[in-house]
Amino acid sequence: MQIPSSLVTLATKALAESMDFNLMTHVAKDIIDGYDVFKRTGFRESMVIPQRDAARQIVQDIVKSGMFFYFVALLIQMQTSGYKGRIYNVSYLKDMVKLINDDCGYIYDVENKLFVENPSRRRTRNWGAFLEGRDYIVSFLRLDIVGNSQLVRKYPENLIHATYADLRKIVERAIDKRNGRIWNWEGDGGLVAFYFASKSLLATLSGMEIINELFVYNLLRCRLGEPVQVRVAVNTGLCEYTEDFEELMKNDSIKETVQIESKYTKPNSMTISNTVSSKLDASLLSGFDTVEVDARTKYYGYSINLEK
Amino acid sequence: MKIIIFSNTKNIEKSFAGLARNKSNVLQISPAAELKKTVKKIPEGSLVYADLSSFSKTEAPQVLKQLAKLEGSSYAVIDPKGSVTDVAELFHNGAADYISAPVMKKGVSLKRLEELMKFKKIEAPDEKLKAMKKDYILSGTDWKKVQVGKEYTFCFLLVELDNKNDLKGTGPEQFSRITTAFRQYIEGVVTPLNGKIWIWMDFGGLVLFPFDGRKCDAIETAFKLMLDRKLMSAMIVQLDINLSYRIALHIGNTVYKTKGETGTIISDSINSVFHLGQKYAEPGCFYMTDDAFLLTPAGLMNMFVPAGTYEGRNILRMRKIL
Repeated sequence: MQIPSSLVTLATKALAESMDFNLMTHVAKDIIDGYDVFKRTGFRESMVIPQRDAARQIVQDIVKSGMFFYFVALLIQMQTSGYKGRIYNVSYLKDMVKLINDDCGYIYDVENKLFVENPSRRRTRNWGAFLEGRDYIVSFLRLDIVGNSQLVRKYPENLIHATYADLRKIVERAIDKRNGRIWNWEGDGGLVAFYFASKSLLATLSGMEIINELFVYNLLRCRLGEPVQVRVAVNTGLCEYTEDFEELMKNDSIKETVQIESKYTKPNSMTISNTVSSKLDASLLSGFDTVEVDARTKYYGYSINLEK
Repeated sequence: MKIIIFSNTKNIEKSFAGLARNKSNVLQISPAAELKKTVKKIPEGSLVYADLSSFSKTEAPQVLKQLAKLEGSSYAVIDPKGSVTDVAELFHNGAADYISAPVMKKGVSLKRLEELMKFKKIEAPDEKLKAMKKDYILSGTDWKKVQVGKEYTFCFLLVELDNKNDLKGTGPEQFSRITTAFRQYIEGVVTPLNGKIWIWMDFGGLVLFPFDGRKCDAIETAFKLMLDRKLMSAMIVQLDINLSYRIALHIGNTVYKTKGETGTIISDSINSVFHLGQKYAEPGCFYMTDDAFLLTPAGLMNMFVPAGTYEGRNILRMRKIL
């Protein structure tokens, strides 16, 4: 992402005016592993680098590394929760945050202590926040269309396309309002990720909404001669983020989500793992069925059951 | 009307796209092989099209025989290959329409459907209504023509929280927040469908939907409100308590007055919907009068069960969510 020059200038001034040389090099090393300001500026280590020159080089290198927003997030933390045991007053912080909001379309997420894209302005797969190779706790929603192969064989292609497009719209409506992101969508289903706020709850509510909306769709608007059935699974776990989807699918939490969907979920229902259920209120879980996995583990299942 | 087309012909839906222009028509396209399996489950009042080119020469006569026995629904024949030698015989045996290759190419129009309905004496929902309720004064699809002080027919939806004590137990501040959020949720759901919260009390209120005599979106809305109860609770209560609410739905007449000036209105319909919701309905359930049920989309009809008679009206209840 292109960082506006006004923001770069402001950050350079903030660094130069708010901290000494030692502190700013520490901060730089926290952002870029093994960062050496002497090498970058060409000054010998025995020489003193003028504070403003050091700040300019550090900020430029942080911008180049794609870590600028992380850097500003770190400055916010230095001023709010402190850095290495001390609170620092960082100049121009409010101005920088405002510029990031207005010119770049990013907002600061206090809970996760990072800048994320403003969903009303941009929606990318990683919320504009995840970095390649870093670990995040993510809630996943996996959805699979039951009997996809049979449906594809049985109905004309255009009818299947239209029906699956309807399903995708249902999914998008359910997840967009909860800041979920589709990480993968294939013909027969997909994977959605949630990261912010109460992610386990939001993923669960999205799954419930998908089940409910599909129930009504099947009664009233289904284009096929039979209901479209899905299996939905929700799980929360650690995920090392990568843009490479094949690599991403090797992640243990995602593999577990896929397994919950395929092994423990009935058609037209949603199963949530114990890492998810532990974050939910008992009142929400009260209508869920218990799915026994083993002596120690139990999942919960949601489906619509009407009186006969 | 539900229109079910059993056909394997590619792009068959294009020939029938014109029928979907009337939103009260629901088109469903199924593979021809499904006809035999599902013929006994076809909802009453449907129109079934069978594409003879999708059946073998031996199957086609059997299919026609099966369709001729349909009770409560009509059938028609699609014949892209012109295989029917005696079209009149089809009509003698009860067929409602015959779609030849040129008709397919031109597309089946709404006008053709109307002619067919006249021919087979199939009643459109609004005609049914006219037959039942001569005193309906249709208010339209939106509020443009509704004038203060005049009488119209509306769809009345009463929705009211019925676990007041649980909710009050959260304290006055939380209770006020929850009831405000509940109202906002209801408003968010009904507004896109031209519904208007007309009367609001502490625990719920009465929503008015304009009524054009053809369809009643409030039925699907109320159905979804019941399905989404837990979802709504988690979204707006944010405490470990579920919401519980009753819904009553009725179609009837009232003089329209602006919100806040409804105190002097005397209306049997308003009384009825309040009595139905507050005195007759069980907590957590959705009830409607048979006047409203007449407008229920075919796919939802089976979701309701008879629930007795109240104040001279037959009542239906949505099946309980277990």
